[in-house]
Amino acid sequence: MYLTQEEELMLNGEMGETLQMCMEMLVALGELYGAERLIDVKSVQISGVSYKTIGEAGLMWLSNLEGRVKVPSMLNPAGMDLQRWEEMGISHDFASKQLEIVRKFAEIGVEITCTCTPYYHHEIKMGDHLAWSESSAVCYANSVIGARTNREGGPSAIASALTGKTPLYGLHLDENRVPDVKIIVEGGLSGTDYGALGYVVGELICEMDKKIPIFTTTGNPTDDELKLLGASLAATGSVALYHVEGITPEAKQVSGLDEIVIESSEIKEMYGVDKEPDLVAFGCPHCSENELKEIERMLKGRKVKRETWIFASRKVIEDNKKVVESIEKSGVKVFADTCMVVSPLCENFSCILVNSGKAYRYVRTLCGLESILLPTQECIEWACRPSS
Amino acid sequence: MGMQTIKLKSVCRGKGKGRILKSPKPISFLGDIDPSTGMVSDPDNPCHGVSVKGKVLVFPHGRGSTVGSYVLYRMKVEDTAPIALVSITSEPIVVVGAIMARIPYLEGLDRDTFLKIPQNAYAIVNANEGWMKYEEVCGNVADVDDSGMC
Repeated sequence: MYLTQEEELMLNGEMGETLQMCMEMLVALGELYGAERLIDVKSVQISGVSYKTIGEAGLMWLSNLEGRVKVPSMLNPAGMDLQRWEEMGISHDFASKQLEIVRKFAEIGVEITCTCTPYYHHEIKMGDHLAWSESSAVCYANSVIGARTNREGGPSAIASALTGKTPLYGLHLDENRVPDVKIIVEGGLSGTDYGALGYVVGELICEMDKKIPIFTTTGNPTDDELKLLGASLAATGSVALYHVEGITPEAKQVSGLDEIVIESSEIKEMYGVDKEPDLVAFGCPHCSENELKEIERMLKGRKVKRETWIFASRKVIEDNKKVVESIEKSGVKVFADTCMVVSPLCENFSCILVNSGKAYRYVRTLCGLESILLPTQECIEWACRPSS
Repeated sequence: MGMQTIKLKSVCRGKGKGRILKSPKPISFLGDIDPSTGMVSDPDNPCHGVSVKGKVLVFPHGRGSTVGSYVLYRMKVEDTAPIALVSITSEPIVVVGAIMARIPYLEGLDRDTFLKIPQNAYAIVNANEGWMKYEEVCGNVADVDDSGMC
């Protein structure tokens, strides 16, 4: 692999142990994937922030890092709202470990964004090279924006943050961004339907060993709906890039692809309540301004009758104070910095009702709880219905 | 029979020597190994119940969650980690974990050599120069000197 003089110095340890380790990691990954060289990245998003995920080992490793980030670097959600953790029922032990992790990231210059929607924080453009980690954020950046990022692990994202570089391979290259399977969607979809579509298609193409689907649909999905679609595709199919004809910036006709037809009836089969939920949760991925406003509209000032939580980034919450206040008047709690998947809060509940295909999956597989998937409006109605 | 030498690709620099523990199954450091003892905890692995601590761990490739990288680091800190890693192919989780934990790591074993390497053989790994030597031995590790003879 070709390295510049400065990169060589880092690799040889002449710029300190941390940078040496970072460079070793980037070079080893670059060689593993056949990269010719390293490239500069515009921004970094680091996963592996929750103490629930990285534990004592992660904290120990972070504690030994030296130096400062070279490019804007953001954090994935932590295991709790960094300010309102007590209200969430988080233990003091967990909170003190979580705050220590966050403090360590702040020390090396990482912005404590704690969100899976970093694209609401730093504007990214088509063609930008990034080193992002969280699967739905990676999928959104690549597909909806047309920026370029592989799905980084936590440590390799940290290596990119401290060096400002990533190996040139995978989705950074044109030839690896071409669709390999066509999905024809029959019938109209809206909102949560797109998350359900991603769930179904992710599972299907995973079995077929395909990676980059291109969708043909008569619908006109919004950015929020594309966010839900990508999050589910990533969760069930490890998809990091998809295209939608006529909608996403890099969608191009490719002939001779295998085709799968998905009927809207197959999507609606995902919905069904077989158990009473004890928590209704929104914000996987973290809510946008429009999604918060939609929930406010659907609540119509009604009081919720069962525990209802919304997750969004601190910035989006602060930019929409009035909406959030109005939602909280209904008895809904709006938390920042965390989500239903990475927080240990799930231990306190048994069945979570969600409007996200991704959360529907991970509440089961990562938290070991029951989950129910319904469109947003129906989730709100459940929230307003008394427990039986 | 002298020591067999194999040229391999270095993933993480360093040197180490010890007995070989060969896992016929791919390994996830999150879930397949108990990090507090180093014991293989995957019930489907023939090495179940054997410790990787201080061993030259020979395995086909890594698998599983990216958190596995952090677990490998924790094992190094808690002194339950393998002394060196040798695999057929490499994937990012163990590559990154080995670099975080500074565990010498070689990859690129061909399948025949992998099958031929005897369980419990004595091995010297040099990931600075990119080679591994091994020899079948009798007795305990304590009886083996640097030349690998009984």
